[in-house]
Amino acid sequence: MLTKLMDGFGTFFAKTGVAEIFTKLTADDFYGLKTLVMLAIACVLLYLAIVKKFEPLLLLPIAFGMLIANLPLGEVMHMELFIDPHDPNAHLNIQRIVEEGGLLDLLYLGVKLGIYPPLIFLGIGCMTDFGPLISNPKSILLGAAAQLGVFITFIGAILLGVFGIGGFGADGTADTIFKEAAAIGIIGGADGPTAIYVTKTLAPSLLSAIAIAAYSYMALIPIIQPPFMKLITTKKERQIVMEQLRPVTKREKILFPIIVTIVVVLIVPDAAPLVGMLMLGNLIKESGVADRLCKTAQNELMNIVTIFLGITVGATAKADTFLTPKTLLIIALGLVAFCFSTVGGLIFGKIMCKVTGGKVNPLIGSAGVSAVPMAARVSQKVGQEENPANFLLMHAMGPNVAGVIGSAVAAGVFLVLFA
Amino acid sequence: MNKFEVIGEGLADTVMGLCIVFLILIIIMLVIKAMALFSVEKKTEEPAPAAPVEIAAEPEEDSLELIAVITAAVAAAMGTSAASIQIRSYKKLDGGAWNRAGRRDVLENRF
Repeated sequence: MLTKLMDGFGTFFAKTGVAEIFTKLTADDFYGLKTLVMLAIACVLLYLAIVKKFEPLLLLPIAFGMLIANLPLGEVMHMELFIDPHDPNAHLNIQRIVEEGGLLDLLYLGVKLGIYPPLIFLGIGCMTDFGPLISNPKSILLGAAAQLGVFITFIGAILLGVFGIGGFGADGTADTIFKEAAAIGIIGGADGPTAIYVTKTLAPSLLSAIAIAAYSYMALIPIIQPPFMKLITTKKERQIVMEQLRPVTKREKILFPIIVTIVVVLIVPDAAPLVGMLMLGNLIKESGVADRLCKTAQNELMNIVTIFLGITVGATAKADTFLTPKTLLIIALGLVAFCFSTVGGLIFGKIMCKVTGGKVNPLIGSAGVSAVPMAARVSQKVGQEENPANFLLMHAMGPNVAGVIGSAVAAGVFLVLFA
Repeated sequence: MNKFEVIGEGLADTVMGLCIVFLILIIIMLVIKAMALFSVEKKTEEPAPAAPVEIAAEPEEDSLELIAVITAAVAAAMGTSAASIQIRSYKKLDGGAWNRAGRRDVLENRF
Protein backbone atom coordinates (compact mmCIF):
# COMPACT_ATOMS: atom_id res chain seq x y z
CA MET A 1 0.00 0.00 0.00
CA LEU A 2 2.70 2.45 1.09
CA THR A 3 5.03 1.50 -1.74
CA LYS A 4 2.19 1.91 -4.21
CA LEU A 5 1.54 5.39 -2.86
CA MET A 6 5.23 6.25 -3.10
CA ASP A 7 5.32 4.94 -6.65
CA GLY A 8 2.31 7.06 -7.50
CA PHE A 9 3.99 10.18 -6.15
CA GLY A 10 7.18 9.21 -7.94
CA THR A 11 5.58 8.92 -11.35
CA PHE A 12 3.59 12.09 -10.77
CA PHE A 13 6.72 14.00 -9.77
CA ALA A 14 8.57 12.78 -12.83
CA LYS A 15 5.89 14.38 -14.97
CA THR A 16 6.10 17.83 -13.33
CA GLY A 17 7.94 20.82 -14.72
CA VAL A 18 10.24 20.83 -11.68
CA ALA A 19 11.55 17.39 -12.56
CA GLU A 20 11.84 18.40 -16.22
CA ILE A 21 14.03 21.36 -15.32
CA PHE A 22 16.31 19.52 -12.90
CA THR A 23 16.70 16.27 -14.81
CA LYS A 24 17.60 18.19 -17.94
CA LEU A 25 19.56 20.93 -16.17
CA THR A 26 22.54 20.55 -18.46
CA ALA A 27 21.13 17.98 -20.88
CA ASP A 28 19.42 18.79 -24.18
CA ASP A 29 21.67 21.77 -24.85
CA PHE A 30 21.27 23.13 -21.29
CA TYR A 31 17.46 22.99 -21.46
CA GLY A 32 16.95 23.33 -17.70
CA LEU A 33 19.35 26.22 -17.18
CA LYS A 34 18.03 28.08 -20.21
CA THR A 35 14.49 27.67 -18.94
CA LEU A 36 15.45 29.11 -15.57
CA VAL A 37 17.13 32.10 -17.27
CA MET A 38 14.03 32.72 -19.40
CA LEU A 39 11.81 32.63 -16.31
CA ALA A 40 14.13 35.08 -14.59
CA ILE A 41 14.02 37.45 -17.58
CA ALA A 42 10.22 37.24 -17.63
CA CYS A 43 10.12 38.15 -13.95
CA VAL A 44 12.47 41.11 -14.47
CA LEU A 45 10.20 42.36 -17.26
CA LEU A 46 7.17 41.95 -15.00
CA TYR A 47 9.00 44.00 -12.36
CA LEU A 48 9.78 46.73 -14.92
CA ALA A 49 6.15 46.80 -16.03
CA ILE A 50 4.52 46.76 -12.61
CA VAL A 51 6.94 48.64 -10.36
CA LYS A 52 8.77 50.89 -12.83
CA LYS A 53 5.65 51.33 -15.01
CA PHE A 54 7.49 50.78 -18.33
CA GLU A 55 4.65 50.81 -20.89
CA PRO A 56 2.73 48.46 -18.57
CA LEU A 57 -0.22 48.05 -20.96
CA LEU A 58 2.02 46.09 -23.31
CA LEU A 59 5.02 45.01 -21.32
CA LEU A 60 2.90 43.28 -18.69
CA PRO A 61 1.13 40.91 -21.10
CA ILE A 62 4.39 40.42 -23.03
CA ALA A 63 6.28 39.43 -19.89
CA PHE A 64 3.50 37.13 -18.73
CA GLY A 65 3.29 35.50 -22.15
CA MET A 66 7.00 34.86 -21.91
CA LEU A 67 6.56 33.35 -18.45
CA ILE A 68 3.85 30.84 -19.35
CA ALA A 69 5.40 29.90 -22.68
CA ASN A 70 8.66 28.95 -20.98
CA LEU A 71 7.29 26.87 -18.13
CA PRO A 72 8.26 23.33 -19.13
CA LEU A 73 5.70 20.83 -20.44
CA GLY A 74 2.99 23.51 -20.54
CA GLU A 75 3.32 23.76 -24.30
CA VAL A 76 0.93 26.69 -24.62
CA MET A 77 2.64 28.00 -27.73
CA HIS A 78 3.77 25.85 -30.64
CA MET A 79 6.17 27.92 -32.68
CA GLU A 80 6.89 24.92 -34.90
CA LEU A 81 3.42 25.39 -36.39
CA PHE A 82 4.47 28.82 -37.62
CA ILE A 83 8.14 28.56 -38.47
CA ASP A 84 9.40 25.55 -40.37
CA PRO A 85 13.10 25.30 -39.45
CA HIS A 86 13.89 23.58 -42.74
CA ASP A 87 12.11 26.03 -44.99
CA PRO A 88 11.66 29.55 -43.56
CA ASN A 89 9.66 30.63 -46.59
CA ALA A 90 7.09 27.85 -46.34
CA HIS A 91 3.44 28.82 -46.40
CA LEU A 92 1.43 28.79 -43.19
CA ASN A 93 -0.47 25.56 -42.75
CA ILE A 94 -3.67 27.05 -41.31
CA GLN A 95 -5.45 23.70 -41.26
CA ARG A 96 -2.75 22.24 -39.02
CA ILE A 97 -2.73 25.29 -36.74
CA VAL A 98 -6.49 25.06 -36.21
CA GLU A 99 -6.37 21.31 -35.59
CA GLU A 100 -3.33 21.13 -33.33
CA GLY A 101 -3.01 24.62 -31.92
CA GLY A 102 -4.23 25.87 -28.56
CA LEU A 103 -5.36 29.26 -27.30
CA LEU A 104 -2.12 31.14 -27.89
CA ASP A 105 -1.49 29.56 -31.28
CA LEU A 106 -4.87 30.72 -32.50
CA LEU A 107 -4.40 34.19 -31.04
CA TYR A 108 -0.93 34.36 -32.60
CA LEU A 109 -2.55 34.06 -36.02
CA GLY A 110 -3.60 37.69 -35.51
CA VAL A 111 0.06 38.68 -35.31
CA LYS A 112 1.23 36.33 -38.03
CA LEU A 113 -1.39 37.48 -40.52
CA GLY A 114 -0.82 41.14 -39.63
CA ILE A 115 -4.24 41.78 -38.10
CA TYR A 116 -3.48 43.23 -34.66
CA PRO A 117 -1.10 46.11 -35.49
CA PRO A 118 -3.50 47.77 -37.97
CA LEU A 119 -6.37 47.39 -35.45
CA ILE A 120 -4.24 49.14 -32.83
CA PHE A 121 -3.55 51.85 -35.39
CA LEU A 122 -7.31 52.25 -35.83
CA GLY A 123 -7.61 53.04 -32.13
CA ILE A 124 -4.58 55.34 -32.22
CA GLY A 125 -6.20 57.18 -35.14
CA CYS A 126 -9.30 57.75 -33.03
CA MET A 127 -7.19 59.24 -30.25
CA THR A 128 -4.92 61.41 -32.39
CA ASP A 129 -5.51 65.07 -33.09
CA PHE A 130 -3.71 66.09 -36.26
CA GLY A 131 -4.69 69.73 -35.66
CA PRO A 132 -1.21 70.93 -34.58
CA LEU A 133 0.26 69.33 -37.69
CA ILE A 134 -2.33 70.86 -40.03
CA SER A 135 -1.81 74.33 -38.59
CA ASN A 136 1.98 74.08 -38.92
CA PRO A 137 2.54 71.88 -41.99
CA LYS A 138 6.31 72.25 -42.10
CA SER A 139 6.59 70.39 -38.80
CA ILE A 140 5.77 67.23 -40.77
CA LEU A 141 9.35 67.33 -42.11
CA LEU A 142 10.65 66.77 -38.60
CA GLY A 143 8.65 63.55 -38.55
CA ALA A 144 10.57 62.48 -41.64
CA ALA A 145 13.98 63.55 -40.31
CA ALA A 146 13.46 61.53 -37.16
CA GLN A 147 13.35 58.35 -39.26
CA LEU A 148 17.13 58.77 -39.66
CA GLY A 149 17.73 56.23 -36.89
CA VAL A 150 15.70 53.61 -38.77
CA PHE A 151 17.94 53.78 -41.81
CA ILE A 152 21.25 54.27 -39.94
CA THR A 153 20.52 51.17 -37.87
CA PHE A 154 19.48 49.30 -41.00
CA ILE A 155 22.86 49.90 -42.61
CA GLY A 156 24.61 49.22 -39.29
CA ALA A 157 22.93 45.84 -38.95
CA ILE A 158 23.88 45.01 -42.55
CA LEU A 159 27.53 45.74 -41.76
CA LEU A 160 27.35 43.46 -38.71
CA GLY A 161 25.69 40.77 -40.81
CA VAL A 162 28.23 41.01 -43.63
CA PHE A 163 31.15 40.63 -41.26
CA GLY A 164 29.42 37.82 -39.39
CA ILE A 165 29.08 39.57 -36.04
CA GLY A 166 26.20 38.55 -33.80
CA GLY A 167 24.84 35.91 -36.15
CA PHE A 168 22.67 38.10 -38.35
CA GLY A 169 21.55 36.46 -41.54
CA ALA A 170 22.32 33.06 -40.04
CA ASP A 171 22.09 31.22 -43.34
CA GLY A 172 24.54 33.72 -44.80
CA THR A 173 22.44 34.88 -47.72
CA ALA A 174 22.19 38.58 -48.45
CA ASP A 175 18.41 38.30 -48.45
CA THR A 176 18.16 37.27 -44.77
CA ILE A 177 20.69 39.93 -43.79
CA PHE A 178 18.58 42.64 -45.44
CA LYS A 179 15.34 41.35 -43.92
CA GLU A 180 16.69 41.12 -40.38
CA ALA A 181 18.42 44.50 -40.69
CA ALA A 182 15.17 46.13 -41.81
CA ALA A 183 13.23 44.61 -38.91
CA ILE A 184 15.85 45.81 -36.42
CA GLY A 185 16.09 49.27 -37.99
CA ILE A 186 12.37 49.88 -37.67
CA ILE A 187 12.79 49.91 -33.86
CA GLY A 188 14.06 53.48 -34.45
CA GLY A 189 10.58 54.44 -35.58
CA ALA A 190 9.66 54.25 -31.87
CA ASP A 191 6.39 52.70 -32.86
CA GLY A 192 5.53 49.29 -31.40
CA PRO A 193 2.74 48.16 -33.76
CA THR A 194 4.78 49.17 -36.83
CA ALA A 195 7.84 47.30 -35.57
CA ILE A 196 5.75 44.18 -34.92
CA TYR A 197 4.08 44.45 -38.33
CA VAL A 198 7.41 44.62 -40.16
CA THR A 199 9.12 41.96 -38.07
CA LYS A 200 6.40 39.34 -38.36
CA THR A 201 6.79 39.58 -42.13
CA LEU A 202 10.54 39.93 -42.52
CA ALA A 203 12.11 38.19 -39.50
CA PRO A 204 9.53 36.31 -37.41
CA SER A 205 12.14 34.64 -35.20
CA LEU A 206 13.26 38.06 -33.90
CA LEU A 207 9.72 39.16 -33.03
CA SER A 208 9.89 38.96 -29.25
CA ALA A 209 13.32 40.58 -28.96
CA ILE A 210 12.37 43.45 -31.25
CA ALA A 211 9.01 44.04 -29.56
CA ILE A 212 10.59 44.06 -26.11
CA ALA A 213 13.36 46.43 -27.27
CA ALA A 214 10.88 48.79 -28.94
CA TYR A 215 8.51 49.02 -25.99
CA SER A 216 11.27 49.30 -23.38
CA TYR A 217 13.00 52.15 -25.18
CA MET A 218 9.69 53.94 -25.73
CA ALA A 219 9.28 53.90 -21.97
CA LEU A 220 12.83 55.21 -21.59
CA ILE A 221 12.39 58.17 -23.95
CA PRO A 222 12.36 60.70 -21.06
CA ILE A 223 15.83 59.41 -20.12
CA ILE A 224 17.30 58.83 -23.61
CA GLN A 225 16.35 62.09 -25.28
CA PRO A 226 17.21 65.02 -22.94
CA PRO A 227 21.04 64.57 -23.03
CA PHE A 228 21.02 64.74 -26.84
CA MET A 229 18.65 67.69 -26.78
CA LYS A 230 20.99 69.64 -24.52
CA LEU A 231 24.09 68.58 -26.42
CA ILE A 232 22.88 69.54 -29.88
CA THR A 233 20.92 72.73 -29.25
CA THR A 234 22.24 75.96 -27.71
CA LYS A 235 20.69 77.55 -24.65
CA LYS A 236 19.46 80.42 -26.79
CA GLU A 237 17.74 78.06 -29.23
CA ARG A 238 16.04 76.19 -26.41
CA GLN A 239 14.55 79.45 -25.16
CA ILE A 240 12.82 80.31 -28.43
CA VAL A 241 9.11 80.94 -27.92
CA MET A 242 7.09 79.84 -30.94
CA GLU A 243 4.13 81.71 -32.40
CA GLN A 244 0.72 80.49 -31.37
CA LEU A 245 -0.79 77.92 -33.73
CA ARG A 246 -3.70 79.08 -35.86
CA PRO A 247 -7.03 77.37 -35.24
CA VAL A 248 -7.81 74.61 -37.71
CA THR A 249 -11.20 74.31 -39.37
CA LYS A 250 -13.28 71.19 -39.13
CA ARG A 251 -13.21 70.83 -42.89
CA GLU A 252 -9.40 70.64 -42.90
CA LYS A 253 -9.43 68.04 -40.17
CA ILE A 254 -11.88 65.88 -42.13
CA LEU A 255 -10.02 66.23 -45.42
CA PHE A 256 -6.61 65.48 -43.88
CA PRO A 257 -7.01 61.71 -43.26
CA ILE A 258 -8.57 61.21 -46.69
CA ILE A 259 -5.78 63.03 -48.49
CA VAL A 260 -2.97 61.38 -46.51
CA THR A 261 -4.40 57.93 -47.26
CA ILE A 262 -4.58 58.66 -50.97
CA VAL A 263 -1.06 60.13 -51.17
CA VAL A 264 0.68 57.47 -49.06
CA VAL A 265 -1.07 54.40 -50.43
CA LEU A 266 -0.65 55.52 -54.05
CA ILE A 267 3.12 55.76 -53.56
CA VAL A 268 3.80 52.99 -51.00
CA PRO A 269 0.99 50.44 -51.33
CA ASP A 270 2.52 48.20 -48.65
CA ALA A 271 1.87 50.88 -46.03
CA ALA A 272 -1.87 50.62 -46.76
CA PRO A 273 -2.93 48.46 -43.78
CA LEU A 274 -1.14 50.67 -41.23
CA VAL A 275 -1.74 54.13 -42.69
CA GLY A 276 -5.20 53.20 -43.94
CA MET A 277 -6.43 52.08 -40.52
CA LEU A 278 -4.77 55.02 -38.74
CA MET A 279 -6.52 57.45 -41.04
CA LEU A 280 -9.84 55.59 -40.91
CA GLY A 281 -9.74 55.93 -37.13
CA ASN A 282 -8.98 59.62 -37.41
CA LEU A 283 -11.75 60.17 -39.96
CA ILE A 284 -14.24 58.41 -37.68
CA LYS A 285 -13.23 60.79 -34.90
CA GLU A 286 -13.09 64.03 -36.90
CA SER A 287 -16.24 63.43 -38.92
CA GLY A 288 -18.21 63.36 -35.68
CA VAL A 289 -20.93 61.25 -37.26
CA ALA A 290 -19.87 57.89 -35.84
CA ASP A 291 -19.18 58.62 -32.22
CA ARG A 292 -20.03 55.09 -31.11
CA LEU A 293 -17.49 53.54 -33.46
CA CYS A 294 -14.87 55.98 -32.23
CA LYS A 295 -15.46 54.99 -28.62
CA THR A 296 -15.27 51.28 -29.39
CA ALA A 297 -12.15 51.57 -31.53
CA GLN A 298 -10.18 53.55 -28.97
CA ASN A 299 -11.34 51.66 -25.89
CA GLU A 300 -12.75 48.14 -26.04
CA LEU A 301 -11.36 47.04 -29.39
CA MET A 302 -7.90 48.44 -28.75
CA ASN A 303 -7.75 46.96 -25.25
CA ILE A 304 -8.76 43.50 -26.46
CA VAL A 305 -6.23 43.58 -29.27
CA THR A 306 -3.52 44.85 -26.92
CA ILE A 307 -4.01 41.86 -24.63
CA PHE A 308 -3.93 39.38 -27.52
CA LEU A 309 -0.91 41.04 -29.12
CA GLY A 310 1.07 41.33 -25.89
CA ILE A 311 0.62 37.80 -24.64
CA THR A 312 1.31 36.13 -27.99
CA VAL A 313 4.35 38.27 -28.81
CA GLY A 314 5.72 37.44 -25.37
CA ALA A 315 5.02 33.75 -25.88
CA THR A 316 7.21 33.66 -29.00
CA ALA A 317 10.24 34.24 -26.76
CA LYS A 318 11.58 30.72 -26.48
CA ALA A 319 15.02 30.00 -25.09
CA ASP A 320 16.51 28.67 -28.32
CA THR A 321 15.73 31.82 -30.32
CA PHE A 322 15.81 34.37 -27.50
CA LEU A 323 18.92 33.41 -25.53
CA THR A 324 21.36 34.24 -28.29
CA PRO A 325 23.92 37.03 -28.73
CA LYS A 326 21.57 38.33 -31.40
CA THR A 327 19.02 39.40 -28.77
CA LEU A 328 21.63 41.43 -26.89
CA LEU A 329 22.75 42.99 -30.16
CA ILE A 330 19.14 43.83 -31.06
CA ILE A 331 18.72 45.56 -27.70
CA ALA A 332 21.94 47.53 -28.35
CA LEU A 333 21.02 48.39 -31.95
CA GLY A 334 17.57 49.48 -30.77
CA LEU A 335 19.20 52.05 -28.53
CA VAL A 336 21.40 53.23 -31.42
CA ALA A 337 18.27 53.58 -33.54
CA PHE A 338 16.49 55.68 -30.91
CA CYS A 339 19.51 57.93 -30.45
CA PHE A 340 19.98 58.57 -34.16
CA SER A 341 16.28 59.25 -34.63
CA THR A 342 16.42 61.83 -31.86
CA VAL A 343 19.56 63.40 -33.35
CA GLY A 344 18.05 63.40 -36.86
CA GLY A 345 15.00 65.29 -35.65
CA LEU A 346 17.06 67.77 -33.63
CA ILE A 347 19.47 68.55 -36.47
CA PHE A 348 16.59 69.13 -38.86
CA GLY A 349 14.99 71.28 -36.17
CA LYS A 350 18.16 73.40 -36.08
CA ILE A 351 18.10 73.73 -39.85
CA MET A 352 14.47 74.86 -39.72
CA CYS A 353 15.37 77.28 -36.96
CA LYS A 354 18.06 78.86 -39.17
CA VAL A 355 15.89 78.93 -42.29
CA THR A 356 12.92 80.56 -40.57
CA GLY A 357 15.15 83.10 -38.82
CA GLY A 358 14.69 81.73 -35.32
CA LYS A 359 10.95 81.08 -35.36
CA VAL A 360 11.25 77.34 -34.75
CA ASN A 361 12.50 75.94 -31.47
CA PRO A 362 14.73 72.99 -32.46
CA LEU A 363 13.63 71.09 -29.36
CA ILE A 364 10.41 70.09 -31.13
CA GLY A 365 12.57 68.10 -33.58
CA SER A 366 13.22 65.31 -31.10
CA ALA A 367 9.44 64.81 -30.89
CA GLY A 368 9.57 63.53 -34.47
CA VAL A 369 10.05 60.01 -33.15
CA SER A 370 6.55 58.67 -33.06
CA ALA A 371 6.16 57.74 -29.39
CA VAL A 372 2.99 59.77 -28.77
CA PRO A 373 2.75 61.73 -26.52
CA MET A 374 5.92 60.97 -24.51
CA ALA A 375 8.32 62.52 -27.00
CA ALA A 376 6.29 65.74 -27.22
CA ARG A 377 6.12 65.88 -23.47
CA VAL A 378 9.91 65.62 -23.25
CA SER A 379 10.25 68.59 -25.63
CA GLN A 380 7.86 70.54 -23.42
CA LYS A 381 9.78 69.71 -20.25
CA VAL A 382 13.24 70.49 -21.59
CA GLY A 383 11.96 73.73 -23.13
CA GLN A 384 10.38 74.79 -19.88
CA GLU A 385 13.57 74.19 -17.93
CA GLU A 386 15.19 76.98 -19.95
CA ASN A 387 12.23 79.29 -20.12
CA PRO A 388 9.42 78.63 -17.63
CA ALA A 389 6.95 80.68 -19.68
CA ASN A 390 7.44 78.57 -22.79
CA PHE A 391 4.79 76.06 -23.82
CA LEU A 392 6.12 73.86 -26.60
CA LEU A 393 3.71 70.96 -26.09
CA MET A 394 1.28 71.72 -28.91
CA HIS A 395 4.10 72.69 -31.26
CA ALA A 396 5.82 69.38 -30.51
CA MET A 397 2.61 67.40 -31.13
CA GLY A 398 2.89 68.29 -34.83
CA PRO A 399 6.19 66.46 -35.46
CA ASN A 400 5.08 63.78 -33.01
CA VAL A 401 2.02 62.71 -35.01
CA ALA A 402 3.98 63.22 -38.23
CA GLY A 403 6.44 60.68 -36.84
CA VAL A 404 3.67 58.06 -36.76
CA ILE A 405 3.02 58.64 -40.46
CA GLY A 406 6.78 58.75 -41.16
CA SER A 407 7.55 55.43 -39.49
CA ALA A 408 4.59 53.75 -41.18
CA VAL A 409 5.93 54.97 -44.52
CA ALA A 410 9.45 53.73 -43.66
CA ALA A 411 7.90 50.37 -42.78
CA GLY A 412 6.10 50.34 -46.12
CA VAL A 413 9.37 51.05 -47.94
CA PHE A 414 11.07 48.09 -46.23
CA LEU A 415 8.13 45.82 -47.06
CA VAL A 416 8.19 46.87 -50.71
CA LEU A 417 11.92 46.20 -50.92
CA PHE A 418 12.26 42.95 -49.00
CA ALA A 419 8.93 41.17 -48.45
CA MET B 1 26.81 38.67 -53.88
CA ASN B 2 30.12 39.53 -52.27
CA LYS B 3 30.43 41.63 -49.16
CA PHE B 4 30.91 44.93 -50.93
CA GLU B 5 27.93 44.41 -53.19
CA VAL B 6 25.76 43.70 -50.16
CA ILE B 7 26.99 46.87 -48.41
CA GLY B 8 26.56 48.86 -51.61
CA GLU B 9 23.00 47.70 -52.03
CA GLY B 10 22.30 48.39 -48.37
CA LEU B 11 23.57 51.96 -48.75
CA ALA B 12 21.47 52.46 -51.87
CA ASP B 13 18.38 51.21 -50.02
CA THR B 14 19.16 53.49 -47.07
CA VAL B 15 19.40 56.61 -49.23
CA MET B 16 16.38 55.64 -51.27
CA GLY B 17 14.31 54.87 -48.17
CA LEU B 18 15.05 58.22 -46.55
CA CYS B 19 14.30 60.03 -49.81
CA ILE B 20 10.94 58.29 -50.21
CA VAL B 21 9.95 59.10 -46.62
CA PHE B 22 10.86 62.76 -47.17
CA LEU B 23 9.18 62.85 -50.57
CA ILE B 24 5.87 61.54 -49.24
CA LEU B 25 5.84 63.82 -46.21
CA ILE B 26 6.76 66.82 -48.39
CA ILE B 27 3.83 66.02 -50.69
CA ILE B 28 1.53 65.82 -47.66
CA MET B 29 2.92 69.16 -46.44
CA LEU B 30 2.19 70.81 -49.78
CA VAL B 31 -1.31 69.38 -49.82
CA ILE B 32 -2.00 70.69 -46.31
CA LYS B 33 -0.76 74.11 -47.35
CA ALA B 34 -3.00 74.06 -50.40
CA MET B 35 -5.90 72.99 -48.21
CA ALA B 36 -5.27 75.89 -45.84
CA LEU B 37 -5.60 78.35 -48.72
CA PHE B 38 -9.08 77.04 -49.46
CA SER B 39 -10.27 77.09 -45.89
CA VAL B 40 -9.18 80.68 -45.20
CA GLU B 41 -12.18 82.21 -47.02
CA LYS B 42 -14.49 79.89 -45.15
CA LYS B 43 -13.08 80.95 -41.81
CA THR B 44 -14.69 84.42 -41.86
CA GLU B 45 -18.15 82.84 -41.64
CA GLU B 46 -17.45 80.13 -39.11
CA PRO B 47 -16.03 81.68 -35.93
CA ALA B 48 -19.00 84.01 -35.40
CA PRO B 49 -21.48 81.52 -33.88
CA ALA B 50 -18.79 79.91 -31.72
CA ALA B 51 -17.87 83.06 -29.78
CA PRO B 52 -21.07 83.76 -27.74
CA VAL B 53 -21.26 80.17 -26.54
CA GLU B 54 -17.94 80.50 -24.80
CA ILE B 55 -19.02 83.57 -22.86
CA ALA B 56 -22.26 81.98 -21.80
CA ALA B 57 -20.45 78.89 -20.63
CA GLU B 58 -18.22 80.85 -18.24
CA PRO B 59 -19.27 79.81 -14.72
CA GLU B 60 -20.44 82.46 -12.31
CA GLU B 61 -18.29 82.50 -9.21
CA ASP B 62 -20.01 81.80 -5.97
CA SER B 63 -18.32 84.22 -3.59
CA LEU B 64 -19.43 82.42 -0.43
CA GLU B 65 -17.96 79.20 -1.67
CA LEU B 66 -14.79 81.00 -2.69
CA ILE B 67 -14.45 82.57 0.76
CA ALA B 68 -14.89 79.16 2.36
CA VAL B 69 -12.13 77.74 0.19
CA ILE B 70 -9.78 80.65 0.93
CA THR B 71 -10.48 80.34 4.68
CA ALA B 72 -9.71 76.65 4.63
CA ALA B 73 -6.51 77.18 2.60
CA VAL B 74 -5.26 79.96 4.91
CA ALA B 75 -6.08 77.89 8.01
CA ALA B 76 -4.27 74.90 6.60
CA ALA B 77 -1.21 76.98 5.72
CA MET B 78 -1.12 78.65 9.16
CA GLY B 79 -1.84 75.45 11.01
CA THR B 80 -4.83 76.81 12.94
CA SER B 81 -8.49 75.92 12.77
CA ALA B 82 -10.78 77.63 10.29
CA ALA B 83 -12.95 78.97 13.12
CA SER B 84 -10.15 81.20 14.45
CA ILE B 85 -9.71 83.25 11.28
CA GLN B 86 -12.04 85.48 9.37
CA ILE B 87 -11.66 86.60 5.77
CA ARG B 88 -12.75 90.25 5.62
CA SER B 89 -11.87 90.99 2.02
CA TYR B 90 -10.01 89.43 -0.86
CA LYS B 91 -8.71 90.72 -4.16
CA LYS B 92 -7.51 88.87 -7.22
CA LEU B 93 -3.92 89.74 -8.11
CA ASP B 94 -2.37 89.43 -11.53
CA GLY B 95 0.29 87.26 -9.95
CA GLY B 96 2.14 85.96 -12.97
CA ALA B 97 4.52 83.68 -11.15
CA TRP B 98 1.90 81.79 -9.17
CA ASN B 99 -0.41 81.41 -12.14
CA ARG B 100 2.44 80.13 -14.23
CA ALA B 101 3.56 77.69 -11.54
CA GLY B 102 0.01 76.44 -11.18
CA ARG B 103 -0.48 76.01 -14.89
CA ARG B 104 2.81 74.19 -15.18
CA ASP B 105 1.88 71.92 -12.34
CA VAL B 106 -1.41 71.00 -13.96
CA LEU B 107 0.27 70.42 -17.33
CA GLU B 108 2.94 68.21 -15.88
CA ASN B 109 0.39 66.12 -14.05
CA ARG B 110 -1.77 65.65 -17.11
CA PHE B 111 0.86 64.56 -19.59
